[in-house]
Amino acid sequence: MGNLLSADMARLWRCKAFWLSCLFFAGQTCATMGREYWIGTQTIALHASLENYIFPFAFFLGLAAAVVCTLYLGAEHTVGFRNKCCVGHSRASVYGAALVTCSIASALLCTAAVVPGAILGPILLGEGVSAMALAMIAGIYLLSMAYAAVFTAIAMLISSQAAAPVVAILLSLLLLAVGYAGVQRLAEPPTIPNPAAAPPTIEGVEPDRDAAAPERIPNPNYLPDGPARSAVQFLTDFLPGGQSYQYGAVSTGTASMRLPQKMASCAAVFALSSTAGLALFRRKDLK
Amino acid sequence: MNRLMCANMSRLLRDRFFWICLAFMGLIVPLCNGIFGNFFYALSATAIPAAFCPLFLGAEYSDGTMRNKIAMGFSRFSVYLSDFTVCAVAGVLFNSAWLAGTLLLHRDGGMPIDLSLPFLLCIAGVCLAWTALFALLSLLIQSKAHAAVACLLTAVVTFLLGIQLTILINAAADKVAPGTQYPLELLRDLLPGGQAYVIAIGDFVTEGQLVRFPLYSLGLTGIVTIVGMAMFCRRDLR
Repeated sequence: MGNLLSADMARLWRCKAFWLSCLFFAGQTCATMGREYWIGTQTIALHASLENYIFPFAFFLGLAAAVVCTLYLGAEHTVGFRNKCCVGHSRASVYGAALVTCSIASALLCTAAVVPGAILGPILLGEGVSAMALAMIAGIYLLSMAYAAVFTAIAMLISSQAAAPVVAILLSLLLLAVGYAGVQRLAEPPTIPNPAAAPPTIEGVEPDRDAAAPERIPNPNYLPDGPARSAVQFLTDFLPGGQSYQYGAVSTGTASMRLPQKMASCAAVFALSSTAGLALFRRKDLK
Repeated sequence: MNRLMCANMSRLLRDRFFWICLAFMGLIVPLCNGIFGNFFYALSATAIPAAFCPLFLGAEYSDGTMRNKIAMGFSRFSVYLSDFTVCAVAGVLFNSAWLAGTLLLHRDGGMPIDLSLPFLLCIAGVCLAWTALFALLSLLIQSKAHAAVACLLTAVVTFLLGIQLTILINAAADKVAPGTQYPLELLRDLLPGGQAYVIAIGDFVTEGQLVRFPLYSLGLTGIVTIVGMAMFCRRDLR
């Protein structure tokens, strides 16, 4: 497997999609810092928290991993995998080498996003790197490996070079949308303002409203503590898209990040998708 | 060009992925609107054509159809226009399927969207603008995989740019120099992604936006199509 790994890594350094994605991540962090700097100058309060500018890259992590893994591995379907198996490498080592390379690629994408923020951020915006932020960055690295495992499985199993990126990108968007929905649902307040008790919108004109109506009514979308809330919480923390959204949106003041649960979920996603991907790859007919 | 259109339309109706996308827009998206809100519709109306157009048009390059059409004497202008038109028809059908699904689901009341003509024109405009962009990328990039990635990334990045611009506009409007949000608003309203986001969150601040959006979309569609045709006419088709 050592030979396979060195061959795959050598090919990774020549992969344009990988370098463009690294550039995008670095640029995105710099653009976010620029935005916070600009907003800070407007409010004359130049002191943005680390979370405002270093974690938003997590929104794009799934998308970038989908693009890099599928484009990188898609080229192997024409001749690469078949030749590797013909010269005697087992399917497990071929899959393992691809998985390790894609995991390293995803981790390097995270590094490309984190390093500019960690170096320039404290200089421009005056906030240092806390222990909690470091722990969250470690969590994002594990998340990137979970994404790499899922998209490696997709790229190894779908032979079509065009269909694999489409499926992977749509899946990453779907995971993000589900994560967004879960976080929004969990953040719903117990009560909402009662429309029937709304104050008049036009001066001097009294709307038809019931004077005895309460100002706030129970929110039908609120999830009280119970099985439903626990299930939505588990799904939001378990799915990579939910984690991406929570890390990326940490600047909006989300509650406890539940990092141990998230890290365990990443390990579970990595193990499940790698096991299933390898099992199906062993049976695949390599044309 | 009639023959090109007939050929494209019959290929469209036999395309399995087209029917999968249609079913997704007509069945899944209206159901998910209740959970995710209109944001899911805006994301789907962006991502589904971005996935469909490069796979549908890219097959012409991989099968040699594009070369055959040019060899048979059809002008590059008519090939581009017929391909753009069939993608526009597909986009309109996707949105119509979603509209039909939403109407059926909410036939007893509680429609999540405004069914007024200006609003529907906004949706049609965004659909055409997206189609023009995806057709340009799909017809100029001869590799199906790269075209698919380029279209999906363009869609997502433009959509996210719309969100970012809205954040900046809201920040500028509250601050010391409120005039700085007007150029940002213009940029946001010109981008199909920005329009899609405004439609999704229902943030129509003024009625003027409902009139401006279709006009901007039409202008963008025209410019992108003309630029795409010019580049396609010069392109070396392998």
